[in-house]
Amino acid sequence: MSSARTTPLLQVARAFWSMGRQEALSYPFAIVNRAVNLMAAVFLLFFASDLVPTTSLGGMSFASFALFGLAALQLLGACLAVFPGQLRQMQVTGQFEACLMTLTPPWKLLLAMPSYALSAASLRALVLLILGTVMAGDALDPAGILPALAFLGLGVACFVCLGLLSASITLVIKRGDPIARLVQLGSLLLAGTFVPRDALPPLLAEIGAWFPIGPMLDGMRASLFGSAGQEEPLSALLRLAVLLGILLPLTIVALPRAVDRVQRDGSAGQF
Amino acid sequence: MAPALLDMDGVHKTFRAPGPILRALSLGRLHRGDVRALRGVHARVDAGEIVGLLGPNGSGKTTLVRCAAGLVRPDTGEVRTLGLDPALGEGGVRGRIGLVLRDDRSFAWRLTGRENLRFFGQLQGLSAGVLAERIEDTLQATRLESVADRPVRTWSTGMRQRLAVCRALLGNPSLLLMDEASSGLDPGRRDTFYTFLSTVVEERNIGILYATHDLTEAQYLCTRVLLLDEGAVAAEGSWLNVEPVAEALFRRAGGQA
Repeated sequence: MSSARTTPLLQVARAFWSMGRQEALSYPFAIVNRAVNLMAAVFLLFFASDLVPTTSLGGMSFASFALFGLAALQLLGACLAVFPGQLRQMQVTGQFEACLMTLTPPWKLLLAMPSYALSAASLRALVLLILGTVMAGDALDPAGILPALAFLGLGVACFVCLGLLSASITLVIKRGDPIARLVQLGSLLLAGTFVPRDALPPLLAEIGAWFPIGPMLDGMRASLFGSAGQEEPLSALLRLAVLLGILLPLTIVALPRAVDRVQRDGSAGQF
Repeated sequence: MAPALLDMDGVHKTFRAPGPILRALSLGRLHRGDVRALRGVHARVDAGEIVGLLGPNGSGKTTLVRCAAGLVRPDTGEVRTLGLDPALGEGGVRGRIGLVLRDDRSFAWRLTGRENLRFFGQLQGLSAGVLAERIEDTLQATRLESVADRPVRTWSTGMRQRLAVCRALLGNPSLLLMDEASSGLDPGRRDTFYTFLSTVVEERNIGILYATHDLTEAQYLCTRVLLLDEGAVAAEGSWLNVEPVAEALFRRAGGQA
C-alpha cells in the first residue's frame, strides 16, 4: 500500500524556516558578528582590487570578480554545511526521530531542514551580487541578467544535490563525510572563485572546471560582463547540465538507501 | 476480534557489529559483538488498554518500541500498526502513532513550548486552526499552559517530559508508544501522570505500549504486562500472572525486585 497522505513540502519548509528564524533571532550577537565579517570581507576585496590587473579578469575589477565568487561560496557553503550539519544536530538531540514520527516522509525532512539557513545564505549572496554588480559599473549587460539567473539556478540545484548526498553519507557513517570538505576546498582553490582558472596549470584548471561553482560563475560572469568569464556560456551550461545529470540521479538513489539503512540498523537517532 | 492497534508477530532483530568485511565474512551468521535484541517476539495492543513492556536494562524494550514505531526494521517477523507497516510509513501510519522517549532533548530549547508544538504540528500537516486548538487542548491536559510561552531551556525535566506527551498527542494518535516516559518525574507528578494517561486511554479509546523497568509502575498503571528477558517474552498477562516471574527475573538481573 502506498502512503495515503503526507505533509506538503511547502508546509514542511515553512515549519523549518520559521523554527530556524526564531532560533537565529535568539542569538543576536551571532547575526551581528556575521554581518560584520561579511562587511570586512567586502572592504578587504575592495582594497585588494587595486593590486590585481583587470586584464586577466576580462575587464572586470577584482573586487567585482571576487564578490561574485564570495556570493557563490555562501550558497555552496550553506548547502554543504547545513544539510549534513543540521541533520547531525537533529540526530544528536533526537529531533530527527521525533520528526520521523510525523506525516512528513524522510526525504521531505532532509530537503526542507535547511530552509532558513539557505534563505539567509541567499540573502547574503544577493547583497554580495548587487555589490559586485555595482562595483563593475558600466560593464554590466542588462540583457544578461536572465541567463545569469538561469546559471545561478542550475548551480544551486547542483549544490543542493551535493548537500543531500553529504547528508545521506552523514546519515549512515555519522562522521567523516568525504564530500563536503573536498568540494569546498576544490571550489575555493581550483574552480575560479577568487583566482582565475587561467592562472592555474591546465590540468588543475580542467579539474576545477568540474566543480559546479566553476561553470556557474563562468556563466554568470560571461552573461553579465561579456568576456569576463573563463568559459563560454554555452560550454558552461553544458558542463552544469552534465553535472546535474550525474548528481541528481545519484542523490535520488542515495537518499532513500541511506534512510533504509538507518532503519535497518536502528541508528536514526545515533551520531 | 477487533483489529489490533499493534500486532507484532515473531519479530527478530539483531544489531550487527560494525565492520563491513567481518559482516560479509560471517555470511549471515552471528558474529562476536552482534547483539540479538529481539528473539521471536509476539505482542499485541488493543484499544482501551495500557500494555506494560517490562524488563531489566538490555532486555529489548527500546528496540521493540522502535520497531513498533517503524524507526527500526525487524530482520524477520511482522509488525503491523493499525494494520499497516510503520517502517514503510504505509498510509501515513506514523502520523497516527505518538512516540514519547525518555530524557527527551528533542525540542528546540531556545523556542517556547508552544512554538515547539507548532513546529511538530506543522510537520503533522495540521491546518493552523486545528493545530492551535490541539495545542491548547494538550497543554491544558498536561497542565503546561502557564509555562507554554517560556523557552524550553528554562523548563524542568518533568515539564519537558510532559511536553513530549503533548507532542505525541498532537496528531490525535490511536496508539501511544512510551519508553520510560515517567523517568524524569518526581513521585507526586508520577501519580498525576498515571491518572492523566488512564484518562487519555479512556476518553480517546486509544492504546498505549508503555516500556518500563519499574515493577510498581507496571503494577499500578498497566492493564496487561509483557515481560521481556534478553529479547524474548518471558511472561505475559495480568500483573498477578506476571509478578512471580518478573520478581525472579529482576532479582536475577540485580534489579529492584
